[in-house]
Amino acid sequence: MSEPMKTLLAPDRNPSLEKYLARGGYASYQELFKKSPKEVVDMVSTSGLRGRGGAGFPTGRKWSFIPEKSQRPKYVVCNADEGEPGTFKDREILEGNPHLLIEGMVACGYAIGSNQGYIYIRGEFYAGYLRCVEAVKEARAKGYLGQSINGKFAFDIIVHRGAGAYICGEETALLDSLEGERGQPRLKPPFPAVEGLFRGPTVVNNVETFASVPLLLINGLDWYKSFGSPNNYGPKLFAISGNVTKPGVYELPMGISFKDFIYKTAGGLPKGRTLKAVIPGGSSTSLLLPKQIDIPLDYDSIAKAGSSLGSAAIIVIDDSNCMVMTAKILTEFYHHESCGKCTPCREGLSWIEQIYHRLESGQGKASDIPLLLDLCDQIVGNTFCPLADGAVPIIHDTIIHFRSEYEAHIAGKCCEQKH
Amino acid sequence: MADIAKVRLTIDGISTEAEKGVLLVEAARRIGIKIPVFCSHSKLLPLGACRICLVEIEKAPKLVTACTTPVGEGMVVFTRSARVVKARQGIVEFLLANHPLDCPICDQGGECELQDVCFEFGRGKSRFEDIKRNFDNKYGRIKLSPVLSWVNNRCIHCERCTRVCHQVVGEDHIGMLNRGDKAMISTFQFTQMTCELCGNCAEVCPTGTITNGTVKYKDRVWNLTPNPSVCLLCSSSCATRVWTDLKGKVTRVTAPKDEQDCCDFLCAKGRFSFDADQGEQRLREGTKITSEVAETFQQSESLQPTVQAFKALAKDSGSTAVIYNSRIANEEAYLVGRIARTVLKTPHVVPLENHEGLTSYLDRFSGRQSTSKDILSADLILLVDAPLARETPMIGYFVTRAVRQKGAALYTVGPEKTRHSSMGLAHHWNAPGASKDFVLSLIEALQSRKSDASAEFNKIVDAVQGSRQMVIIAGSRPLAEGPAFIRAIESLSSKVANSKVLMVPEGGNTLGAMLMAGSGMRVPGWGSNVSQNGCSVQEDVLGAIEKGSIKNVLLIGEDLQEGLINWPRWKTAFAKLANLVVFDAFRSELTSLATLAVPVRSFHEFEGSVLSALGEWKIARGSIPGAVGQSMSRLLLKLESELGGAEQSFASVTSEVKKLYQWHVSRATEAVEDKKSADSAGKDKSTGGNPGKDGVFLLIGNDLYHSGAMTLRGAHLGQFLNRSLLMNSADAEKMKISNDARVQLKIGSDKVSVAVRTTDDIMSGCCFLALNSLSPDERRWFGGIGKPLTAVIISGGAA
Repeated sequence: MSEPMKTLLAPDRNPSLEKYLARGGYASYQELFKKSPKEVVDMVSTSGLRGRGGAGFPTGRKWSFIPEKSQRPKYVVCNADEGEPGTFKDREILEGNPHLLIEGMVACGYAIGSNQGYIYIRGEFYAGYLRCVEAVKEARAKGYLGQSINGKFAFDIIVHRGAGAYICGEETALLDSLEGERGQPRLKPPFPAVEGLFRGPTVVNNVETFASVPLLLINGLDWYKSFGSPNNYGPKLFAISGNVTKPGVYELPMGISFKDFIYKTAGGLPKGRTLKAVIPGGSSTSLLLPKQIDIPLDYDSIAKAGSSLGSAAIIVIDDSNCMVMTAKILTEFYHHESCGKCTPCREGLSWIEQIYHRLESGQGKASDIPLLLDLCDQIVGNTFCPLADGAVPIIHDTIIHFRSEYEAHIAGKCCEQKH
Repeated sequence: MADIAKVRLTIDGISTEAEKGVLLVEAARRIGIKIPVFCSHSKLLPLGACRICLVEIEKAPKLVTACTTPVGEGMVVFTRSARVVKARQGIVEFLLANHPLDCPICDQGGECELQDVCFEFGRGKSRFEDIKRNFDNKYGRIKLSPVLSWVNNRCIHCERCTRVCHQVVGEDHIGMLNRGDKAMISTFQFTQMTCELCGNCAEVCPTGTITNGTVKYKDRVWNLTPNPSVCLLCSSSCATRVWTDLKGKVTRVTAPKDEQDCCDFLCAKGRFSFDADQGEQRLREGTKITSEVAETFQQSESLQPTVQAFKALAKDSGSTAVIYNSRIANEEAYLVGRIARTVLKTPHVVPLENHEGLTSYLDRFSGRQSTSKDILSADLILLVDAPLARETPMIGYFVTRAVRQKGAALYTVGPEKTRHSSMGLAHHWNAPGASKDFVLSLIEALQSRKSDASAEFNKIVDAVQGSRQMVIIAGSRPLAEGPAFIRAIESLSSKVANSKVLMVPEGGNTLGAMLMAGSGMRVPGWGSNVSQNGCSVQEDVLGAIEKGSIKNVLLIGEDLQEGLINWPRWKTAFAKLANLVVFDAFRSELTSLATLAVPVRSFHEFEGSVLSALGEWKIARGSIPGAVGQSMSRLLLKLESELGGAEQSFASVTSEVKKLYQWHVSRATEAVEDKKSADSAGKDKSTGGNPGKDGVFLLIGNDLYHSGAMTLRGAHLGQFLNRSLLMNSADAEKMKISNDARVQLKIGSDKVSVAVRTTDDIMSGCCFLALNSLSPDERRWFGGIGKPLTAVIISGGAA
């Protein structure tokens, strides 16, 4: 027997079952089936594990919402539709360690009394899709999935590829898409825990969230809580990109220094460059300025600084970047990905994109700056789902903190001096 | 009904009360506070997409949509706060950003919800100076339907049309294509539409995106006047608004937008057929044949010739037959029945629609049949050989809503899979003419299961046993199986608690006309000295004319020739008559044969009340300015007094008609009380043939968009006629007949040449042919809807 498995990432990035077992895989079943389903939910609640998809909702609480008795089947759905600019942590698990995800989904199925899981995987993650399909096949062949897991529990997984829509990362749009409908967010309530996939009670969690559960079961609460601070426990994946010399996915305990992470772990900025701003949790979160990053890297500290840890995707922006163009590129993304269901997102983002295109081509007007701020104000909080709320921070923050760059654009002086 | 818990809340400082579950937008409307809406619609499930109805709730961090938020105890709501006003102005600005400024040429202008809301809640000016979205560049001007006009640039993406298509029409024909600001309403791969409820997407569209294409660019809505009327093209008999222009000409027909359950939608026949009575074939002048010379007269002068003709009819009592069809109002039928009994003193008062079971159904179910509310609250609906899409689309509408919006379970039975089979849980194949056998087997299976039953049949048995509230709907074919079917279905209904029955007869005001004219039933106070043993169906009359015992015929209704089965035989018979008096709205060979032809008002010009198949009482005001002549009831009243009867006002006829209906209802209720002791379900099985043995069963019905010949007269629906033989794919393969191949149908000694369309939606051994697609000469063999008919298919038409 090897050492107990302690990491979310596979050191060898080998997705095969053989290697996974050698790393101590599927050991959590021993612990899992010793406990009652309620004990599993309680353990996850006590661990303080928070959803790793972006909202940071306590996972144990989410599971506890599932009614014990249900007329319709219950479902476990893994949200593997990782698509936010800057976010690429789940991909590491999907491609390099898919059995860990399967193991976690079985634990969830056991805890809530569900026999069917779905992995909804982003259409663009073709390699990850193939590896998940292969992993499910292997697990089924060896009895880690199927009619009789450990002789007492039935659970199977279907891997489903999305068709390339960011909105399907929103859990209810994901469920619609999984049902074969057009991927658009649903009206809530009812929440998925009450009426989710095919109108059955459903848990929807992020890849990393599920993957965290086996580690918790194998190593216990004390080990899990030895990372991070209260309300922010556990090992965590951080994806860092942008202007750093060593971008990538890092598995770190919560609560390490944000500054150290950028300057030491990720190798710091390219030579001669200075830090302009950091997006801490994926492109939907507010900018942090250089003076704001001397804080621990966890949910609460970043919220206190006025942003959000989100999906823990850190984008580092140095002084070679024009902030107007940064905002333009991200706006183009959100405009392209808007589902079109609600008015402010559909119409607002296309309008804002047109304004940015004018700013880019030197057609900007002085009135565009207050107009952009007002349009942001007309969008935020008034939309059906949080997609447009996520599109606004970059526009708003770049205007507030870097207004002079907008004015330069309007005056016809673009940012060429910065390259 | 249990009391529904109420909650107290405050809206804009006004304290109010509403039942739990009521949405804020509705609670506000009740106390006179208008919250603007686009995506919200009273007959559709909430969506919350357009965001125009955002309101502020005390202590809630964000604004919420009033169209999706139910009332809550102690809620304090603001609909005019600064935050709300700003948010609304923002939404209006967004909606208008890409909306073209083409109001001057848009047909919706004047009744456009977008215009109204922008005017009332908008900022008055826009800051949008960029390039507007234009779908036309990419997709050209695709014509999605010949009767709808489609301008995607005007769309505000409220999705009312797509939701209507899914939840109300049940067709899923239109949907959203692409995403974000490129999202557009379209059909899949731009196929053309085929919905029987076509046009409701235009009805609910708050903008000019989808409009009625038949009236495009023809008028402005502020020049139009709505006249309340009733559509008589099928027995759903829907209330309509018939819009007339400044000259009194009918320009369009819409559904009345009242807050009643029945009244937000119309089917394609009701909506687009309004041009049918405007053409050359309309009978505008009367003709009277005197000594072989035809004299014409205006409708206003029709009283004197008519009085003379009726005097001639009354001379020879007992030798006159009065035939009416179901496109007449209750008052008209009542007067026809009374004049026949008291003036003409004849027992022969015969409906043109041949329904063997109808008298029996009326005797037992008048006033007790399922209503629209029963369908909407049912948890199980069983359709027994009821092709509702063809026969009564708006009853199909209630079924679709019950299934798609309220989650009712639906099962279909019969030789055809219909639109509703596709949304049902199972379809049980059942041979034509054997609906009674199905009902009897179901009754047996409820007591003890049969081992040899099909899986679908067992599913139906389970569903009936588990139902809390069941509605059984049968179409016109089972009705033609006669009283035995009615007894069987009554027996089934009595064995299932909380179950209701609905039969859907052919025709228009079929139930009302039959009850009021008193065919086959005694009506109190009418000529007690007249025998009750008159002819009951049209074949009897035809036989009696040929034998010479009937010498005069009075035909009253609309489009009468179409209803006379075997026209060539009738034509010969009519030549023997002394007098043939016809009241019709259309010119036909029949009116040219008549000794007196009187023009009357058409199906949407008429005046009077109508009893729908769902038991609803609908009123047509007869207020269309350009209508041809006067109302038939008033003409009949004058005629009656001229012939020696007492003078009576139209209003008093109306109240007598209502009383007579109540009398029928109480009689039906008494019949139920009497019957509780004796269960009279006929145990004798039908003599359903063996399909496929000596040819195929030929099912005959209306084409999807047609009702008799009437709708064919208009240009709008005339273009949709489908003359093809629907044939089971497996049968066709066996006979080596390919799709689209021409074949000859041999029916008795007659032959009809048609093209074949193969389908899996029809039972092996059966074929379907639309009666409307055949000329009178081509359908001599036709014996009435539901009459068993065998045909031999001759491949290649070579024979």
